[in-house]
Amino acid sequence: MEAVTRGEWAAIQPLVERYHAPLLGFLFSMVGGDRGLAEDLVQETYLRLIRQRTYRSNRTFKPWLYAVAANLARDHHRSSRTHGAGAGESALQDVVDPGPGPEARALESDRSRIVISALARLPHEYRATLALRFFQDLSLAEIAVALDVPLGTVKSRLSVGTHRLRELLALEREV
Amino acid sequence: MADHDSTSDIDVGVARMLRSIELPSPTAAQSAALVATLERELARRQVRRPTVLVQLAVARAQLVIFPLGFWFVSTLVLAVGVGLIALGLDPSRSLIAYLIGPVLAYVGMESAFSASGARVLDLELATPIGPRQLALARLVVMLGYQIAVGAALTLSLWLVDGGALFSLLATWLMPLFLASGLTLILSARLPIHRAATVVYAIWTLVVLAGWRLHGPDISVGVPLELALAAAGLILIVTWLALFAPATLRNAPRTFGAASPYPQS
Repeated sequence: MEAVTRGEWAAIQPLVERYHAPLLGFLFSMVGGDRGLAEDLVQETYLRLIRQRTYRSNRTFKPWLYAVAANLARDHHRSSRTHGAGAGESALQDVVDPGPGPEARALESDRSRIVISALARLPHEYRATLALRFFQDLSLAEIAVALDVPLGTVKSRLSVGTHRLRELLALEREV
Repeated sequence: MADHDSTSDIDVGVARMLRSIELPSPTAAQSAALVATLERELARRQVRRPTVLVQLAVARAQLVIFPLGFWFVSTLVLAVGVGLIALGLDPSRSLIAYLIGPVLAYVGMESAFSASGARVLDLELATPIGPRQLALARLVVMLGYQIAVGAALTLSLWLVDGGALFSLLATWLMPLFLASGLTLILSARLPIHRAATVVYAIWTLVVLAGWRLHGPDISVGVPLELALAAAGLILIVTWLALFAPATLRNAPRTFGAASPYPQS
C-alpha cells in the first residue's frame, strides 16, 4: 500500500490479487447479493485507496480496507433509501428473481440465497459485523478497528446479529 | 486463526451456517480489467504534478517536433546579427539586436507550435502529459536553444570586442521575449503563424520608424529593456496558464484531413 501511495504502478497488481476476491465477497454480502453493484463498489474501494492521502504504514491494512468498503456499502444503502427503494427490498428483488440470474448461478444453493437475502434485512452495522466475522474471518480486534467501535460492541453485535438473523431466516422459510 | 466463537454469546448454528456460505469470486478477466482501471487512475494522478525530471523528459521528446530549419536558421540569424555588430557598426548595435529578436521568435513559434509536418499533435493531445506540459516543453527547447546560442555568440563578441556584455544581452533578449509573448497571446485568437507574422511585421515597422526618427541608435536603455523582457516573460507564462491548450488544438493537423489554415 505504501508503494501505491508513492505512485508505484507495479504495486497495484498484488493488491488486486490479494484482496479482489475477499472484497467482492464482502460487498456481495453487504448489498444483498447484487453482484453488479458489488463489483462497482469493489472498484470504487480500490479507487478510494489510490486517491487517499491518509494511509500510514503503521496502520494495519486489512481492517482499513474493509472500513473503506463498509462505508461505501453504507453510503450506497443510505442513498438508495433516500431515493425511495429500501435497500433490503431492492436487494431481495434481485435475489428472489424467479429467473436464474448471474448471482443465482454464483450461489451454490437456494439456502445461500435465503441467507444473503435475510442478511440484507439486518441493519448495516450488524450486517457488516457478521460479514467481516463469518465471511472474511477477521478477528474481533480487526473488526473493531474496521468499524471503529469498541471490542465489546463487536461482541454485542455478533450476539444480537446472529440471533436476529435466525429470526429472519425463520420468517424467510415461512414465506 | 480468528478468535473462538464461544467468547461471545452468538448463535452457533447461525455462525456455522454463515461460514458454509460460498460467495462469488472475480474472474481473471475481471481482475485484469480492475488493474487496468486502477493503473489509468494512477497515471492520471501522476500527470497532475509532473516532476522536473518528467518535464525534462517531455522536453527531450519534443526535440523531434523542431525541424532542421529551426536549428539552422536560429543559429544563422544570431551569427549574422553578432557578425554585423562585430564589424563595428556600433551605432546600429541596438537596431540589429532589435531586429534579430523577433526573427528568432518568429522562427521559434512557427517551429514549435505549427509543426505541420510533425504528425504527432493528436497523439500528444491524447497522451497523459497535458497540453500545458507539452507547450512548456516546447518553449523550453525553443527559447533554451536560442538563448544558449545567442549567449555564446554574444560572449564571443564581448571577448573580442569588449563593451557591456549585460547591455548587449539585454538588447537582443528583450525583443525575443517580448515578441514571443505577444505572439503567444495573439495565438489565442489567430493561428500561430499568422500571430507570429503580425507581431513581426508590427515590430519591424516600429523599429524602422524609430530608426527613421531617431537614427540608428534606437536603444531604449537597459532598464527599460529589462522591464520589457520581463513583460514578455509574463505574457509567456500567462499564455501557458490560460491559452496553451487552445493554441495546440488549433495547430494544423496532418492526419490526412485538409488543414483549415494555409500551410506555410
